[in-house]
Amino acid sequence: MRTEIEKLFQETIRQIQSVKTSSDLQALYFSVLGRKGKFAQLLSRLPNLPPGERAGLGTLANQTRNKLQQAFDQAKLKFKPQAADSADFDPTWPGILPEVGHTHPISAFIESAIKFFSGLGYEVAEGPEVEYSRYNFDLLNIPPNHPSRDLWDTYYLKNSGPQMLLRTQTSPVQIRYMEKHRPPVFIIAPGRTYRHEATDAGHETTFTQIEALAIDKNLKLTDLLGTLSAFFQHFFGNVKIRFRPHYYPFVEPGLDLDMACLLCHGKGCPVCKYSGWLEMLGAGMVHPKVLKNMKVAPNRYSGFAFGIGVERLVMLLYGITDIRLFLAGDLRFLEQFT
Amino acid sequence: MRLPLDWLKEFVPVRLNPAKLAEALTVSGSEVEKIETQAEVTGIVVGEVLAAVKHPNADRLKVCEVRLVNDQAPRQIVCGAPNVAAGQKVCVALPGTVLANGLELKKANIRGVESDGMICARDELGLGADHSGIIVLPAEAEVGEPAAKWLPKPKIVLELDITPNRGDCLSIRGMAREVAAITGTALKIQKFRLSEAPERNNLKVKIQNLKDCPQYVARVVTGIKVGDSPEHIQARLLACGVRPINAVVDATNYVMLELGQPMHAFDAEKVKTILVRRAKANEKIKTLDGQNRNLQVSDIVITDGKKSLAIAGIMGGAETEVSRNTQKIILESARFDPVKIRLTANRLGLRSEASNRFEKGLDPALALEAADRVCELITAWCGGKILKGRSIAGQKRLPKPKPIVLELAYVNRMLGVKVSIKAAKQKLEALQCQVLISGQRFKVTPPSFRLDLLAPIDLVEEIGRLMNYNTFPLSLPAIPQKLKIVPVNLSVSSFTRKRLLAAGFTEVATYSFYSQKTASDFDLADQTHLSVANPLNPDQALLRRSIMPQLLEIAGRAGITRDSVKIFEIGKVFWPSEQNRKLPDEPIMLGLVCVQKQPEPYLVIKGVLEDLLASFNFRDVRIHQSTQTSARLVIANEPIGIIGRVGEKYAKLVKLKKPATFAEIDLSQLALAQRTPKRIKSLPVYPAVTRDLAFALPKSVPHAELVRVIRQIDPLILSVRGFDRYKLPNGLLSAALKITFQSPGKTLTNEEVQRIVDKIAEEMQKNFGAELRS
Repeated sequence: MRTEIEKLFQETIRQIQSVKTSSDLQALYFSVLGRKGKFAQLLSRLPNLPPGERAGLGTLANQTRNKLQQAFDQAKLKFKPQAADSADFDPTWPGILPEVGHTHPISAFIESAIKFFSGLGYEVAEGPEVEYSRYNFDLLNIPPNHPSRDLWDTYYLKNSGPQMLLRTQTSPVQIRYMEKHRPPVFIIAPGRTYRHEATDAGHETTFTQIEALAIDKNLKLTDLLGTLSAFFQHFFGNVKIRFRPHYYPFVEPGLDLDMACLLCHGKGCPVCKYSGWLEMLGAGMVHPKVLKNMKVAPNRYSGFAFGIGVERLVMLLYGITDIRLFLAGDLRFLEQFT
Repeated sequence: MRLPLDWLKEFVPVRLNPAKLAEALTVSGSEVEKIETQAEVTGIVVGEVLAAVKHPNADRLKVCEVRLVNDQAPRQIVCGAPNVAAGQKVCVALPGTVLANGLELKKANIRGVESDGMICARDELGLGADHSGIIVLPAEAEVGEPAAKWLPKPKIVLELDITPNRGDCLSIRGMAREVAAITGTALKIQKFRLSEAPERNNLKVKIQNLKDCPQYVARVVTGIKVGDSPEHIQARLLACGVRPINAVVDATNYVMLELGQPMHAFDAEKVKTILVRRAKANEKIKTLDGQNRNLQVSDIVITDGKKSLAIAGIMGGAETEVSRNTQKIILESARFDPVKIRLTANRLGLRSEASNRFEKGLDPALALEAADRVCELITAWCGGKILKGRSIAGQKRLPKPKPIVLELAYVNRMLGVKVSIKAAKQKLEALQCQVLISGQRFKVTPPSFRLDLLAPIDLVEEIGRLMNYNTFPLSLPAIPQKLKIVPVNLSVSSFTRKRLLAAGFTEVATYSFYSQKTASDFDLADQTHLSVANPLNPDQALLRRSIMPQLLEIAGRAGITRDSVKIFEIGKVFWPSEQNRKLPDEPIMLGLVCVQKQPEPYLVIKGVLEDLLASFNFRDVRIHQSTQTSARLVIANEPIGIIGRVGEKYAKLVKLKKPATFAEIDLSQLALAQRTPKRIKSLPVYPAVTRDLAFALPKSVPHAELVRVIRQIDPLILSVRGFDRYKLPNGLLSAALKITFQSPGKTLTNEEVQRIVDKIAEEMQKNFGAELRS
């Protein structure tokens, strides 16, 4: 028995050395060390041997099997490199892409904007898209029949009772939120807004704003400027921005923020109407009349507000030159986003 | 508003170049949208008319010999101008030249005579509207040199976006004030001359209601001869976008552009008195544009005491229109109620340069000055005399502006920058405010033209904007820490979006509107919709009640080129409230569409929903079959959505060629549903065993029923889930189930499992007549 084990060992080692292919090696392995291989057959006779002969044979068998296993493992390595240059492997072949969907760029941006403002300590608020004229205009210091209403082309609804409209801005959320909360208040309110105007590459009837409202003691214009700068730095890096005084009845001082046009790098193109600048948002210190409408005392509190035009920002982030693509439902466009 | 720089310079010295000036205006609040440089007249040369003889085949045309280069043969040019004559120096455009109207001049044959160029009139060079004759240059002009040298210089015009609060900026002088304030220069003071005749002006004016018309000033000019206004005036009007008409109308427009006061001139032959009153109900007037207008009691009209002569502030009447035969005019310079003007102008669709200025409010000091100025211009251009004295009704003296008390500390607190007393005073004075200092506070009296300066915050803005916000330091507010609550709608939408993306669905966004036709096509028309009162096109008629129609349309389009379309949208829909006085309900809906042959779209979407609902861990969620091809999603007995195969009708509408399934879930309601806290199961000690069993069923049995029956058979059955289902050739239905067995106490043997499988086969036979197929 002992010699048979020896013999099998020697013979197998010799065969391992002469094996030419990986599959031959595999076959050899199974014929020797497999469940019904020669080694197993040999050992199956072990229980039938007289006890004297059996002594030490178990240990020997184990050692031998381990050595053979090592020899096989060693030999296998010999065939490894062969696998790399075999014809069935091309490392440059395209990978199998996972089947995942694509986020709409507007909702993706809103989510990242929420993250940014949450980091600063803002909460998220919501408001209706169908609004009373009172919330969209009157309470924001835009009286009926005032020329400043021309700043917003408006979709009105057919309804009985107080005039309803599609909100032209997210600012009514300010009023609604302040009906239930007291300062200090730091909120953002993303959502859809509507303008009654003909569409073209730069204008849509339906678009998205992110409103922000901050009311506390001692808030000042430089806080507004700093917050806006931080936002733009976060999303665009060191892009050039410009503050330009502007009139919105619900803020004073009021201003617009322009960003250097990223599509033409300030040289002038149809998107920026050859000015090199693109108007990104309106902002300002909350008007004392609006604070009063919110039942906040203007002598104790001050605040700032702004409304970010999301489509514009996303257009600049990705070099999109037609705003209408966002609602066109063209998957060739949407599938370019992650 | 268009601001020609040459005109501006009459009121203020401008040392900045146009680009720098535009930048300075923009960062101080008068946004320059465009710097327009009018094209220089190019390619036009001076020619000398050697001969002009009648065209052989046309009475009004002349055939001219025009010399363009000394000592060279003259060119033959056909010209229709009545004033062309031999010996004139003229402007000649040669073939190939692009004219002001954008057309390229070509060699032409005019009624049988070759014409090798054109002798130009003003309009052809973009220098005015005049086409009554050709431009005749001074005799010194040299043949062959560029004509531009002898023509008015091209204008540089700034196009400004003036905000509605700054009506005072809607004039050349108004903008000059801004330029003076921001560049720290002094305005050139313009004193306008007035030379009145000794004869008195006896015109009576009356105002019915001083709220409608706080002041009405009229002057009378007689003995005029109305021709064209001077060329440089016409050029200025054109540069401002105003069409020259005749000298009188041009004078009123010119002064309106210059000083900001809109005015109107009436042919005064028959008018003895002026009464400003409200229109009577259904009163009619034929306006200058020849249209008959129906008036309302809210409209203000100018009358002769009986009938209307003009719609105040908006448009004159045809009857008193100033024409070339007019000899006597009444010149009106007045103020009207801005709201009334706005309402009337909007209703009649007659918004004009004038109504635009009236509705923003006018400087109460302006009417008198402007009336004098315009009469002086009219007599300068048309002759005649200005009768002595003005007819004035309403305000006789300037209303006294109210001073505003401004604390310096307030300025600093609002702006966040330190402004010195001196600097603040200097800024306010640059804007022509009167400033009195007492300690740390100012008493500020704004000038009469700044109707927008009423409260301290208005002055804070003025000081701030003149300091240029771009030079301010930046700060971030210290935001108090507190527990932040994320609106549940938002977190549910956000989670749902992530889950669907992972499932291979792409997010789309569609409009909140759809058309009446879409509503009826998709069987939504019998449900109440909110209607848009002023849709721009039929697609904006209704606010959507459902996301389905537009999502299916997208799927239809995408399905043309794709084997598989998987899309979703998360967006609001609008459900009108019972009484439509109240705002509608605006639930956030999740819409899903899957279009493909295999795997079955219904099962794909149902699987996605099962996964989504399972991840929320709702307490009691069920999907009930509701029709042959659809099912209802129910949480705690509340229906929250539907899922169904897209039927033939809708598929045809949106041109879907492959099987499709749609689902719409109310996420707002989902967000409110009760959830159980997630608890993980302890890991099993002994392995589970699975068997796939296929049964041939004589008729369809709901999956839930199969599961119920099988699970009752033995506690060792851990789970039952169908995975394949199809019709067999013999008409029976094959349903394949994956059944998992597991014991908490031991590893199950083959025999133990087989015993249960046999029992299952038996029970399936007994309950449903089903045969085990494998």
